[in-house]
Amino acid sequence: MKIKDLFSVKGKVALVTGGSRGIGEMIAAGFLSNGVKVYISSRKAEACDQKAEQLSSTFGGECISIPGDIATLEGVEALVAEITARESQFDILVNNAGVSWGCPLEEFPEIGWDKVMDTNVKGMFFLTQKMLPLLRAAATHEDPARVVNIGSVDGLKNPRFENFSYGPSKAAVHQLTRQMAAHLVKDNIIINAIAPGPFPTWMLSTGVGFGGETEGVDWEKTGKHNPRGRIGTPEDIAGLAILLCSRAGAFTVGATITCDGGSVARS
Amino acid sequence: MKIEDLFCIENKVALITGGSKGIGEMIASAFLANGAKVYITSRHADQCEATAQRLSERYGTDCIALPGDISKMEDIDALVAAVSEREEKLHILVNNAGASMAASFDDFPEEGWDMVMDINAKSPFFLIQKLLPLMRKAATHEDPARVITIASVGGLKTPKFNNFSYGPAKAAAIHMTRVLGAHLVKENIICNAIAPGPFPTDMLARGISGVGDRKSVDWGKFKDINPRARTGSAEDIGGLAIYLCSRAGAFTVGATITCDGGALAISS
Repeated sequence: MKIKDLFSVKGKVALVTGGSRGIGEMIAAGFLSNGVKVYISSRKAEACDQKAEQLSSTFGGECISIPGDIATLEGVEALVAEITARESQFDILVNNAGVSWGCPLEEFPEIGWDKVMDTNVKGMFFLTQKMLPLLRAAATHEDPARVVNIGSVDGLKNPRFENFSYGPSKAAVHQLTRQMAAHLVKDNIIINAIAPGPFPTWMLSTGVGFGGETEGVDWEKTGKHNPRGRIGTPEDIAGLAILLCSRAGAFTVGATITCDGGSVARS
Repeated sequence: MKIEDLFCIENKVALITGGSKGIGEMIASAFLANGAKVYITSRHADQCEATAQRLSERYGTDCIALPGDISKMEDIDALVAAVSEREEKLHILVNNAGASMAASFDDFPEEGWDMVMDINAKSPFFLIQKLLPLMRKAATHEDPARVITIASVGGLKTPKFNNFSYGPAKAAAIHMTRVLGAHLVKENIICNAIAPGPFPTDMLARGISGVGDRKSVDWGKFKDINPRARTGSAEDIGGLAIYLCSRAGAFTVGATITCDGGALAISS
């Protein structure tokens, strides 16, 4: 029961969608630091390629860029074809790619609904569906394959922003997690969700008025609103993701775990 | 971001109630195997001493018995005094001591209500209250003190047994975790709960066979009962407890995490 065994993810192969920045990048970094071979995908090919190279050189290990858009079924199929050509099995899928849309209720546009639901929920469902053969190939009763879905505290409590499709989409993520988990646990595929609170990401930066910048902005001020008095860090979110992909996480199934400094607890 | 640092609990001082057997012993073992100093309590003094000695020998580190019945306020006071005498600070409290009672609804007795509510909900509350001075001394913003309350999936879904006070008591413990989590986080004390499913314990054995001895049950039959086709293990519950006490767990506050093989997820 040593920590190095309980939480080992060494030698596993993972796909992290939206892995070129934000929470996806943090989880990719945590995996790479501990011996996982990590594929990252994102819509922008150049950013994805550059990030993979940067992560490989910073954390060691192998980070491979597979650009793609999981918001459409064609994008999902292209991505799965690409990784199937490279790997015969996947131990870990992190469904992290997500978008938001902020707009007053009266003017909230249809595209702001569809884009958010398609990326956050539909893309997650169909990517998991199309990845099943690869996940099944890695899954054993002793060490199941793992799917980690990134939800949000905005799917559990009222959001602070006018992101009217985002909260419902993340609530759907949490319920999809439970429903798929119940269905796939018999195939030794374990699905859980993480509901993050504030992290220093492009997405939050646009929400709090930092214009999408993540460096050189006053995250401390944002952190003061959180019960823990800070925002989340790579250690927080990657640590939880590693737990869920390790021996220690092999009996937690269909759960949604907050990583939010207590914002849901206080709401 | 190495695993050894993310999940390190070395040199932390922990108190685990009901630590002489079952889930408490599993968590004690996981802590001891990774360098924590562990105090365990139990109503049964002999069993408490025997387990402490056995675990100390197995893991080559300090496991100390502090027998007492934490369902009584005077025993809580005595326990807190005993810990205070030995330690200047307490990093980890695991509220694990629990009890259940099964009887038909028509005949369910008052003592089966009071005893279960006292041990599962009231005791954790007052133990946290009285241990606050010791935990405040251990708490820093960087590395907060941690409280883990062992609840149950029985507090989240309808239990399988006629344990009518147990489910409500565990639901109370779960919500108390959220309320105290919100209240104590500003003092750098983080409260979370674990909701276990089936583990091969004397308590679950009593529910299944009527005999409070885990050897009376064929745990292999959980292959057909639990979604993960097994019961929980020390690695499952000990691993989750370590996470909650480590650097990795320092941003999860007031949460209740299932460790149930999917029993709750498949419930309708």
